[in-house]
Amino acid sequence: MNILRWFQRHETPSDTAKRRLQFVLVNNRAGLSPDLMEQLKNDIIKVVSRYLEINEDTTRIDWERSDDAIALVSSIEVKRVLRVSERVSG
Amino acid sequence: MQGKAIVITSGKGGVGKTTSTANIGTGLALMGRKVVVIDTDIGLRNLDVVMGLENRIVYDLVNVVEGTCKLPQAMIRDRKVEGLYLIPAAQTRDKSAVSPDQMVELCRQLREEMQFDYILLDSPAGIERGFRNALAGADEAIIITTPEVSAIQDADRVIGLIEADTGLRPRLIINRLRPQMVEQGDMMSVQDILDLLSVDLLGLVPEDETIIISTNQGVPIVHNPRSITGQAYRNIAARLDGEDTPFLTLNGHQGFISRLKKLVRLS
Repeated sequence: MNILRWFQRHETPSDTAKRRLQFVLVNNRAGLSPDLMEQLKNDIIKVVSRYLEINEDTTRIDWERSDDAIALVSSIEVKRVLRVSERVSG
Repeated sequence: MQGKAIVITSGKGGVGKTTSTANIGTGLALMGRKVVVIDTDIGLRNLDVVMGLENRIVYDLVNVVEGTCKLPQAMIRDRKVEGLYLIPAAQTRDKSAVSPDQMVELCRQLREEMQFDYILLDSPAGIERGFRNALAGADEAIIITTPEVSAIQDADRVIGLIEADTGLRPRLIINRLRPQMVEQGDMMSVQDILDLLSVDLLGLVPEDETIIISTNQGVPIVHNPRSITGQAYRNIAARLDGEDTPFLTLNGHQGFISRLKKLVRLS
C-alpha cells in the first residue's frame, strides 16, 4: 500500500512540464503590455471605488515573483469607507 | 470564394514548419484546390528541397518583389500534383530585401489576379523581420508546436504577438506527439497544451521517423496513403478547407512496464 501511495505522490514529467509552463506563461504574458496593465489598474480602481473612496494617484499594481508563483499585488490608499447608501451598484 | 493567405509559424525553430507547409499545401492541392506555397525564409531557403523542386529554381521571391521577373516566372509547378506551385526564397539575400507592404501586395495579386484558393506562407523561426513579412499578408495563422516546454513557451509568445498585431485567432498544430509517452505521464497531453495556450486545435501529427525518408526523397508524406502521418496532414488540409473532420485517435501500444506503471498510478 505504501508503494502505491509513493507512486501517486510522485509528479510525472508531464506534470512537471505543465507546472513549469504555467509559471513561465503567466510570467511572459504579464511582462507584455504596459497598456493592458494600465487598463487593469483602471478597472480595479473602478470596482474598488464602489465600496471605498481611494486616492487614485497613489494606487499601484505590480507583479511580484517568487520561485514558483507569481502574484498581482495592488497598493491602494483608502481615504474613506463609503456608507451603504453611497454605494454605486453596477 | 475568395482565396485565403495563411501564415504557418512557430517562434521556435525546428518544430516542423516547413514540413507542415509542404504537406498541408500538397494535401489541399490533392483535394483539387489551387495552391501556392511561399518560402519567406530569405537567406535560408528549404521548402524547395522538402518538396523536391530544388533543381527547378530560376527566379525567387526577391526577384518577384523587385520586379526583375514576372510573378508567374517565379512560380515552380509541382512535379506530382496539378494546381500546386512554389515560390522559393532567395538564398543569397537577407530578410530586409522584402518589406511587409510588398508581401501584402504579393498576396493580393495571388488571391485576386491569379485566383489561388490558398496561399501558404512558410515563416522563418523567430519574431523579427522575416516573421513580420510572412504575417503581413495573412488572413489566417497556423502555429506549429511540439509537446515540449521550450516550443510551447515560444508558441505562446507568437500567438500573443499575432493577436495583438492583427486580431487573428491562430489555430494550433501539435507535431511529434508520442501517445505512448503521454500515456506514461512522460509527455504533456493535447488537452494540457490546449489549456496552457488557450487556442483552438487544427491538427495532431504523431512523431514519425518516416518523415525523414520523405524529406530525403523530396516527396511530402501526404502522398503516402498508408501513412498515419500522411492521414494527419490530409485531415488538417480538409479542416482548413472547412470540412468537419474528426481528430486522429492516437494510441501508444503499451509495453508491459508502462501498463504496470499506469495500473499502479491509477489504483
